[in-house]
Amino acid sequence: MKRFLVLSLGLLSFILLGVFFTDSSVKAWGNTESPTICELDTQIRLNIQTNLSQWIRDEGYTEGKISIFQQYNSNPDYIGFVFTSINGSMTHVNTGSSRGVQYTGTTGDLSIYGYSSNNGETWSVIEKTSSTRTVIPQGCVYYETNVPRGYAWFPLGVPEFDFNYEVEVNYDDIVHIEEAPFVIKQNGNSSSPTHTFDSSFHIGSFIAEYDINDSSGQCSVNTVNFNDFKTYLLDDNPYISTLVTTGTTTSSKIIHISVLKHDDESNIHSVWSTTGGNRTFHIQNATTEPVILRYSIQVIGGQPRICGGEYANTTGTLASSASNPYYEIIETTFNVTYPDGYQGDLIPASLENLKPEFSYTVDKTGKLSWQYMGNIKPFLTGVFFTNIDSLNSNWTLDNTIQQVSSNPAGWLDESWTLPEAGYYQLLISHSQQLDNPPWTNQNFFIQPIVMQFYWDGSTAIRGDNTQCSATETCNPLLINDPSKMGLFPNLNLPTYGLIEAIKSPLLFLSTLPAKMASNACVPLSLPLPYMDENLVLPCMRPIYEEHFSGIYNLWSTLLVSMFSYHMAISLFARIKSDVSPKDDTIQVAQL
Amino acid sequence: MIQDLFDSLLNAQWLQEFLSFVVAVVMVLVQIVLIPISFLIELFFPDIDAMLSSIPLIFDNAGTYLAWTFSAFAVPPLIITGIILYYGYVLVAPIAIWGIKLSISWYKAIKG
Repeated sequence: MKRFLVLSLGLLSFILLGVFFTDSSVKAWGNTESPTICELDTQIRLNIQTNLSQWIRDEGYTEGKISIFQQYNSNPDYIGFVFTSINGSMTHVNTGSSRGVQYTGTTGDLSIYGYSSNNGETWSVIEKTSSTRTVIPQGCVYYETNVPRGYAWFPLGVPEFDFNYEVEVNYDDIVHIEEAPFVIKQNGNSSSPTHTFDSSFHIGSFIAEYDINDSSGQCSVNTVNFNDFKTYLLDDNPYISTLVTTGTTTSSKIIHISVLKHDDESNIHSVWSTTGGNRTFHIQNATTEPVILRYSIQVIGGQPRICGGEYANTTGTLASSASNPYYEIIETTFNVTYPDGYQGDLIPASLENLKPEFSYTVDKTGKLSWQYMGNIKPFLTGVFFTNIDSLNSNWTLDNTIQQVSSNPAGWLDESWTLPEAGYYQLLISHSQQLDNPPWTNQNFFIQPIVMQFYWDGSTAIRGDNTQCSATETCNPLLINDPSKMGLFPNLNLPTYGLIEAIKSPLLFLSTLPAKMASNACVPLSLPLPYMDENLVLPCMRPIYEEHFSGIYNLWSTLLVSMFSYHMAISLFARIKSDVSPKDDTIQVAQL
Repeated sequence: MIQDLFDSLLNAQWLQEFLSFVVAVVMVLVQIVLIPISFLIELFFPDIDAMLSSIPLIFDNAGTYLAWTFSAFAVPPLIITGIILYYGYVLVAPIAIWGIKLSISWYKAIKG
């Protein structure tokens, strides 16, 4: 009987606990509906991704401007734009092979011009779209007109890259040495060797380099870009490419092509992290054929340059040593450059899946703020543009109620307040100077970020887009009012000063993780007396990192060391105490 | 890497919900226990009650300035997340261990 009672009690407790936690977890996440996002947006994006090869990209992005270029094509087609808060005017651009429209983000209404041309040389404005654009739900504006084929996208947070970093590579760093997938030997005077790719040849993207080495061993590297990192997949086979050499080849010269693959991450770190002076690159190679040293360094993205004098001590006569394998020690120096900010780090093959991460908070009075979480290196600078839209109950656009340009980037002033409870949407886009991105002709554009949420008018919430794609909305977490988070959501007890005073540290504790998160700092805005201005104190840590990196690193190391030591000691003692069989008490007092 | 690990732990839903749960329980209990005396204070000493009502503002301001202060003193994010995780452990571990011990005692009671 006793066993039965204990068993029944345990079972009942288990069921009650399950019901409680199920209920609380649902309520804790608030609205569980899955709002839909602009379908047309997705359609445009797909169009872009499937027509990348038709893009001609201009190098001259400048801060505050967004350039939209389209490749000339005699077939009229449409051009689509995703609506953002960026306003300004379009100007015609006709620079070299880049023709199209350039959009300057300043103020004013969104204006989109279409340009047409019959021969790709003469361009003229055919229509201004501001009066004919169609506003569709979900914050998208879509325009269709007869302009040459082209697809436009507002770049959001395209990093700025510096290709002037030097790193040396030695043999030991290059763990994987393999024969290049193809080698062209050019012993004659022909300057246009041709190679047909085998159907099994499959690489992500590549750059081909060929060295024309003279007897002095001087590094003379010419580079052939195969359509600037265009990705050749198996479907493209057989692909025939013609290399047109610019140098003069003679019978004593060998054209050497090495292929840099982009789909193997195993050796990247050691390559990138190798710094210092020149290194010696040793290769031992035995062959009965004319020596062609072939190697490849796996890299991810970027546009590495390898300058090597492989034949510094040879003249191409090794073929004579057919019966006596010849060992040659080759010394060379490699200079590998990579984007600034990626030292010792992986460079993603493309920014296709890289999106800036933002978090937002709405406090219980409706004050709205968002932060850029700095996940793209180097840090985005410039101006963020923000739309604050109100939505109706089925998560479709009701009205754009606020357009904000935030400078410096990464911080939206908290002075703006949501007017009432309801459905809202944050649409954040960004303009960034673009300087030689390594992802030429790839989908390096980052989509505008859309975050939707429901605010009940009294409860603070926070959310981010880290777990959601740009076209997906995460339900926000409720913060600041744990009494509404599942335990007694409908219990309304009277509030008095004493109770508020005792509750406040507990509320503070519950919101501490969000407030203390590593990226939670927001600039302080303090009103100045007798002046109609606020004193803005920026977050200092990024400034320290940028201007006093040495001292900051020293200080960080010191603090982390002291903290780690203290934590190790106290954690050890606490674990020892927790697992002690003599002490079963819960020390709630430590709250 | 350690920072990423700490951040992922810190952003874990279970930790945030657990903290909220514990705080909610304590707050409700405190509220119920203090209702009579709070009522008396409001009735006879309304100014004191008003003064006590302003105390939450201190914590609101503290929450606002805390992250900036840490940033101003160049405290590395690793330490911030480490502190939170440590105290998260301090809250979670005793209850978890107590629950395990309770389960074992139940098991022994059923078995015996």
